[in-house]
Amino acid sequence: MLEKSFELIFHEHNKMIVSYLYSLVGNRQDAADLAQETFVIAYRKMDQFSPEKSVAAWLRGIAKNLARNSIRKVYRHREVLLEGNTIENLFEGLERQAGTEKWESSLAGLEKCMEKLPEKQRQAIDMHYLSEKSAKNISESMGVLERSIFQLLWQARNNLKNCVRSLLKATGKEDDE
Amino acid sequence: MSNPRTMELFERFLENSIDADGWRELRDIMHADAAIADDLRDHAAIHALVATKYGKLADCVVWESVSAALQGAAVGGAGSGAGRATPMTWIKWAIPLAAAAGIVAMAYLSMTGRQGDEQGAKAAVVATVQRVDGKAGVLMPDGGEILALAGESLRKDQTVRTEAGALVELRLVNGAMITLGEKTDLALLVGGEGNEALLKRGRLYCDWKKDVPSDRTLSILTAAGHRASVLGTRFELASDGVKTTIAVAEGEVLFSSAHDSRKVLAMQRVDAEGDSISPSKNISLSEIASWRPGAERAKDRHVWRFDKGMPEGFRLIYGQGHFEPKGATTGTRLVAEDLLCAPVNFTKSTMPFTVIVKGQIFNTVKPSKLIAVHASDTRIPAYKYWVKSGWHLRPGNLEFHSVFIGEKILNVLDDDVAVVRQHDDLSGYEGILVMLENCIVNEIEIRPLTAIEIERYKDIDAITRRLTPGPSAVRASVFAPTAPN
Repeated sequence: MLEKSFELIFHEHNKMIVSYLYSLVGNRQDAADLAQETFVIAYRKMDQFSPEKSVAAWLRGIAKNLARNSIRKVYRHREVLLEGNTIENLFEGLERQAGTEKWESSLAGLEKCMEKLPEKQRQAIDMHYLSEKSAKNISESMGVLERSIFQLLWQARNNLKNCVRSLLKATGKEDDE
Repeated sequence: MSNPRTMELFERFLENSIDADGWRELRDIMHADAAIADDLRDHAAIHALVATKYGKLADCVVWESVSAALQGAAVGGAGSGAGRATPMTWIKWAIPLAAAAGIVAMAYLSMTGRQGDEQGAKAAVVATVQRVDGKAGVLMPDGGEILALAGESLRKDQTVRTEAGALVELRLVNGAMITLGEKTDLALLVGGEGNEALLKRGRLYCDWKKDVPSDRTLSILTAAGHRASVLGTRFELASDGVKTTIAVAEGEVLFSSAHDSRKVLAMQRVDAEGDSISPSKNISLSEIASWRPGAERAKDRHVWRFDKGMPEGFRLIYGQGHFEPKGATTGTRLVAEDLLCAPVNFTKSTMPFTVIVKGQIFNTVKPSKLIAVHASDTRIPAYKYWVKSGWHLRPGNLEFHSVFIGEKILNVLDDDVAVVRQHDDLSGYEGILVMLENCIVNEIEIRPLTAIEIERYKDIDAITRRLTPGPSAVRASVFAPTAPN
């Protein structure tokens, strides 16, 4: 019965946790491993969880500690991502914007922002994420320098970041309230 | 930020493809400008979000792998040393190794109380001990016994036993809360579809909410051969192996012996020995499970007071209880299970009106306007129906209806026909109001009776014989039949 309840928690927060860990470690397989470990630890510690707190935030706390250990061992240069609360604030803000902790709902804002991207940026994003092409491959497809693709991706993400922040502000659920 | 070199370093950083020189360069840039470091974090988050939305990131972890991890070996720390033996990889090896050794790791299984053995898991958890006062134990099917402790998980076929002066509170997986008194043995969820308990001896108090789905209802048998099937209630059950007593605080319970059954309502008690079940006896709340901590000592009835001069109207009472209007008419017993109408007409009442309903949780009183219930154009005064011909009351789709005839308030509670024939003398009334079971009537058709109906209804005895009066029916056959106009 406890595992059944926990399975519900897993399905509700799994994608968010994987996403969060990926933002920290930058590697899909590592993010997946750490996400699994996060849920196993959370299951162990369920009796320590206070129901009045946010499940999502609690899980991210566990995930961050695991990511910290991983980063120190494998990706030392990513330690800068653990500093401050910028990433947490963004994830939290998206959840609050959706009004629930449903991760699918919180990504709806991102979709709106994607639609506003200029065509070339959108193209670069599609090839990079949907088709999983490297910047080098994209540059060959588009007939431009690799450096140009880096700029396109950076600009696309910058636009998405600003758009998401605007959405959060507009709904009054800015994460720095 | 518009520096192309910085953008490139950023991108390589995010994708973990940055080399050592590139990292040192980016690090120096970030140290020089905290805003750039924040920018990097934002991009890392957006990168992850887009990968989740549009990439294969979301499919990385599936429940099966987590579930296997919970049941497998304990997970080590994050990451690893050389060779990057990740926790996921470690678990993949741990399970085959453990299986080869014939031992399943216990780390997470203890949380669910499952015992690992070569045959697989034992019976599922059916209850949890919430509280133990005094000495109590759990008897195993194999004859062993362990102490009952708060937090303990209990399984099918285990028996909870309390000693003298002890008390145990259990929460069943189906939602019921059961309090065991002293010297009580209760075997858990022994049969049926996992929703039967057996009271071998002693007494218990069961708390089961009314709105639990009926397919999850709970039955408690006694060693004396009686069974209480919960329909949504709080009740006390006691048995010494020969006799059984049940006292219902709220809701209702179907109480049965081998060949008889009785629906026991709120504030009622029945005793049973063998096949014999006594008539229901009305009791007060304080007589029910007074041994239980926190037992209700509050008043066993609710009182709603309505000011004098209240306009006419119906009072909706949900649940069960005894309705006593004062200053209006004689009392009427309310017995329907759900929505019930206690019609109260006291236009220009000169004194406060009191409704007293026994029982607690399921009873609610709401004032309501009189609902027009006649289908004809004939206007029926609010509280007096002077009928010139026969009435034919039909069920319909409003929620309730009541009939006020003369000075009697009559609850029409059935889905059958009620016929009232008026006496010729308009100063009085006579007729038959056939009261039936659980009728929801909302339409009055006033018309002359047809010849067939006259014929049909002239035999009062035959009509009233169809009724099965009991606690769930209100009888109002107070009139003598007369010939219609």
